[in-house]
Amino acid sequence: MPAGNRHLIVALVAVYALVVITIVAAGIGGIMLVDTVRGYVAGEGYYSKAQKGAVIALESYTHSRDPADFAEYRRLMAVPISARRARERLEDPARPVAESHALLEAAQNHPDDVAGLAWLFRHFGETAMLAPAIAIWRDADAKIDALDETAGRLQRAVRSGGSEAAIDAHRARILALDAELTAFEAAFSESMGETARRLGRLLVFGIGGLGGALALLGSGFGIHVMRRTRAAADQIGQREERFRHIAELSADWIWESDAEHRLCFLSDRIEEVTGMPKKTFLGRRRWEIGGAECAPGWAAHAAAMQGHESLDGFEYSLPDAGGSRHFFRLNGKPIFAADGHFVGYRGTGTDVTAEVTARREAERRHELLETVFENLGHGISVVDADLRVVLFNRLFLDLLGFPADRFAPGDPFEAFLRYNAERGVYGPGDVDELVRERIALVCRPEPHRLEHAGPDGQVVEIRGQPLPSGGFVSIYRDVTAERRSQAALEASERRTRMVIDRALDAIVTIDAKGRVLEFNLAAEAIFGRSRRDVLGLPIADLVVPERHRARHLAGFARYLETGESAIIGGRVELSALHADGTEFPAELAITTGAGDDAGDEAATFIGFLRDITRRKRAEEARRRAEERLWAFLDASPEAISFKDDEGRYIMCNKAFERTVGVPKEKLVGLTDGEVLDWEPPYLEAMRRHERLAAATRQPVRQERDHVDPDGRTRTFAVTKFPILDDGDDGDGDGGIAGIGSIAQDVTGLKHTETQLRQAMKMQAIGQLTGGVSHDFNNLLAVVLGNLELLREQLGGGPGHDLAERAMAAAQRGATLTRRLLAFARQQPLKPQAVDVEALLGEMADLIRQSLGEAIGLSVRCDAGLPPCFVDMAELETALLNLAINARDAMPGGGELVFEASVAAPGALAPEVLAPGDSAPGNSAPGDSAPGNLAPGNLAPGEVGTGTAGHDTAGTRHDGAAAPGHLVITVRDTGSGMSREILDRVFEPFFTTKPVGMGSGLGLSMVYGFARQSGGHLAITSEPGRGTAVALWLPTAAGAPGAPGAPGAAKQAGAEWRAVDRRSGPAGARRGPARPARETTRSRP
Amino acid sequence: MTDRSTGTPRLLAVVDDNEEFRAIVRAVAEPIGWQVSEFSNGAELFVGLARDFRPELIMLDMVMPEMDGIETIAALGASSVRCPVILMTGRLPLYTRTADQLGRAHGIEILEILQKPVPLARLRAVLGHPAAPGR
Repeated sequence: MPAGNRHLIVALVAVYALVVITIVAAGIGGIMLVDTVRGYVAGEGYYSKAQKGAVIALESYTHSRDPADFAEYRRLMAVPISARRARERLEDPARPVAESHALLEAAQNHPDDVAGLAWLFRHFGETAMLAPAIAIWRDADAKIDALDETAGRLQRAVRSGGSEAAIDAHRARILALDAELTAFEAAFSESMGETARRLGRLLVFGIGGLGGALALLGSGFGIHVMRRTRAAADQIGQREERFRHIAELSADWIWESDAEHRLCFLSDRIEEVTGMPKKTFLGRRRWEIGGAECAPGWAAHAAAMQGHESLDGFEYSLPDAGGSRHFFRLNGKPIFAADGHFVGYRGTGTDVTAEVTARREAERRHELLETVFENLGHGISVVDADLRVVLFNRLFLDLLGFPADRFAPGDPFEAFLRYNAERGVYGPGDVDELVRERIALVCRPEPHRLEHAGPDGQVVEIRGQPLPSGGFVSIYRDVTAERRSQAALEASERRTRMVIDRALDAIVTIDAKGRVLEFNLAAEAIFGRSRRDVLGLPIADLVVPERHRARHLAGFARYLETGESAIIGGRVELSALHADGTEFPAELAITTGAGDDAGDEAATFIGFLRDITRRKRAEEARRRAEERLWAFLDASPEAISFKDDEGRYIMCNKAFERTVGVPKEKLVGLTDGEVLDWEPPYLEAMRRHERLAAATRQPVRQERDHVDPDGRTRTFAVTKFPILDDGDDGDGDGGIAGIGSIAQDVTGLKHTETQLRQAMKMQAIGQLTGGVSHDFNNLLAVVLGNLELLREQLGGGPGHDLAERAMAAAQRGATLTRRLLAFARQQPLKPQAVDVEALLGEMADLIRQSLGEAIGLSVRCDAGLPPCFVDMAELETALLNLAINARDAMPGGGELVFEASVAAPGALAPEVLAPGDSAPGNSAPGDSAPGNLAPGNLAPGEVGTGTAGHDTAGTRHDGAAAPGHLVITVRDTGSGMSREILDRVFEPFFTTKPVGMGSGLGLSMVYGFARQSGGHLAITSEPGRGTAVALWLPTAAGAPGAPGAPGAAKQAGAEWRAVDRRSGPAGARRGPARPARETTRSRP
Repeated sequence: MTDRSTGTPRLLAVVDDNEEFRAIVRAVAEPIGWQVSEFSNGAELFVGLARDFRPELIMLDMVMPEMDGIETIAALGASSVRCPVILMTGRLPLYTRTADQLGRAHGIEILEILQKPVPLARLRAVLGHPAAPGR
């Protein structure tokens, strides 16, 4: 409704209401006024009655003079007086109207009228309606005052007992006044009546006029309202139509539901949209229709309906008859009645199937896009025309190192650049400047590409593409790994190229047709051809010697056809052709490679060729060196052999062949057990030895006795050493490839060692003994000298015998000392030619006496013994000593044999004379027990003493007469001696005899004598079988410088030492003789 | 040696660090006409020689302190003194052999080599030997 109309209507209604109110008020007021006036007029009676009553009471008083009457008068007179006072108060506008109410009541007015009267008089008192009445009243009041004044005088006259006359006068006055008053009363009433009538008329006319006005107004208003209503209805109709049109345009249907949510209205289109008749839905509640409950948000929707809230875009779906699902959207507004109670809903429904489908599709696409976007391997950012980064993905932040909590889509592009500039990504410089530069760089209107080097060495490639709408989209890609791998690949290629070019081997690649594809620097050098010249040419013509070419081509063809090749995948040695036409030995390895592409070069062959000219030479040199080595080894006296790790002989030298008596050809490839007839314990000992060397990986030396093919026992120092397998695997920690063995014949060495030990021991003892002897000699010189002087002085007198005995004792001491010195070879001997046979013969009787009867003595001498060249006295002593020792060894009797024979030439030192040789009761030769070895063999472990440095091995000789020495053997059948005793028998002061039985110097003195004489002493013994002592003495012919000093003998011994044992029997024979003679001759 | 006919005492030098042995020699030598001078080592002998002591015979021990027999022989050889010497030792014959050869090389007459202990008879024989000097 237009504002103007509304105002007009309001104004009309207001006027209308005002008029109605006025009419009503005027009506009421008028009626009240009239009523009041009438009441007041009617009240005249009261007033009159009071006045009348007062006059009556006063008149009565005049008669009765009764004060009661006067009191009555006063009481009644109060009424008009009160009325007057009320009127006076009402006439004074300053005084409140209410003040007059009590006075009015006192004036005998009805209490109900009091307020109206007061109001009337106050407001209308001076109007034409009341003014005449009031004027009358005011005049009447003057008469009232006069009456009351008269009453007062009367009272005073009564009280003063006034005359009747006076009283009568008063009475008359009273009555006159009463009459006047009554007149006034009548006038007043009339006036009031007139007033009331006027009022009535006024009311009638006023109300009638107003009623007419009202009727006029009402009819005018009604007409206006009617007109306006019609216009409004038209407007509403139009509006409703418009609304419907709009609603039907914006929605598919319109619906309404009542307070119980029952559908009470549906627009027609719902049938069209849903394909179901309206009646399907009408009268049913929303949740009775179904189909919507499943929709998301149903609960909220239902709750909203229950709560009478607006329904805003609730979507749900229903399947149609064809089964395809339709989506609907509902909107609704709650409707409330004027009093606020819920009436129902009114709303619209729309088929949003297309929209939902489209939206879902869009959402799906969006999600897909987002997923793609986020999972894109690249960072991406979109900058709009306002240079705001409206879109970016996580990787963008990660790649460029932007903190995710700091940047959000919509941030200005500059903020990103500034962040980078501030952390120095763009290098040093003013941040603003850098940012500007960068913006200028990326905001160019053409695609661009940048690389961004992150602070941690990361390289990010940035590709920018301007957008048609302005701005640009950038793709960020981490190319760090790519750059690195690219760099690595390039480096790798360079290295590969370098490897190929720097290879010392020729590397040549050919295709399946045999044409050269690759030819490295080494190939150029080796073949003398340049790469440029050979590429594409057939390899066969270039490097294969002509005579091999056909074979080469045939093999190549065969491989291509059958895949069989003798050389591919392996190494062969062949002859290669140099550009200058010469051939050289080469080692070739060929591998196959895939072709460069799938085209005609389906396969390639890579040849690695090495010029092995040098190696061949080296091999030749090594072979020769090996031959030389074996020549050396064959020349070695030591038996050398090698076995593999299974104990089979690989190689041995000639000395080994000789030692084992088996030729090399029969040994190689066989084990000890297979080829040698050694005894199992010996083989086992040797295997233990080898295992020890293998286990310790160290050379292990052991000494072992070995019976050589001649049956002689030798001592070998055998060193077994592991041959470590450090060849193929190259780790140097391989297994044991085999065992090497070096056996050194130490038989002689052992013997010499023993001798040396003995000699040194004896020398030490000798020096000691010599020192002691000297002191003894000095003492004895004094003792003996003085004793001799004493004896002379005593003459034949008393004490002479004592001196004699003392002298004899001192002489024995001197003798002992001399023997000690002799033992120590410090006493000069007096050698002479001695006929041993004669000497033995002479001594036999003496010895027999010493032996006693239980012991038989026999002396055997070879015929034609040469004389020996020794100190005869010492020889006698020595033989005697030996005899006494033998006797002491045979306490139960036995046999003592003296034998003298010429020593076998060269066999100067048969240190051990086997008892079995001649002594009875000995075991047969061949017995393995020690001491039963064949004559002439050295038995290690037995006592072996002899001339210094003499070598026994290999100087054995058959019994031809030897001019050098003769041997006197003293053999007994006594108790014999143990090994321990044998080891010590030559030590001075060593004795097996009970204390006091011997000096312990016997054997050592014999030994010293033998050695000083240029011979030696040998002893062999076996407990329980007896002892044989052989005394070797130089013959007069063989003795060193027969008439010479003892030093000559020593020198001869030294010459003996120099004799080469390999010079054979002849040399051996010559050896001892010649230097001795020469020495002798050289002597003065 | 004392010319027994003239009775002139002959001078004998006994060089030995063993005083008792010197006494024995004196006991043997004096009765047969020797005037004995004792020296305990070679150095003392040369003190005497420096005082114009000229013995007819020197008995020389080998092993002595200060100046031993071999040194004494060498020194004698180097001096102008020429008189026969008898060598004595209770020790290694090596000493006497060396002294023997050394003396011969110097032209000193080594009259005898005595091995201690020396029987008095032998001593007397040597001292009274007709070959002894001083005849």
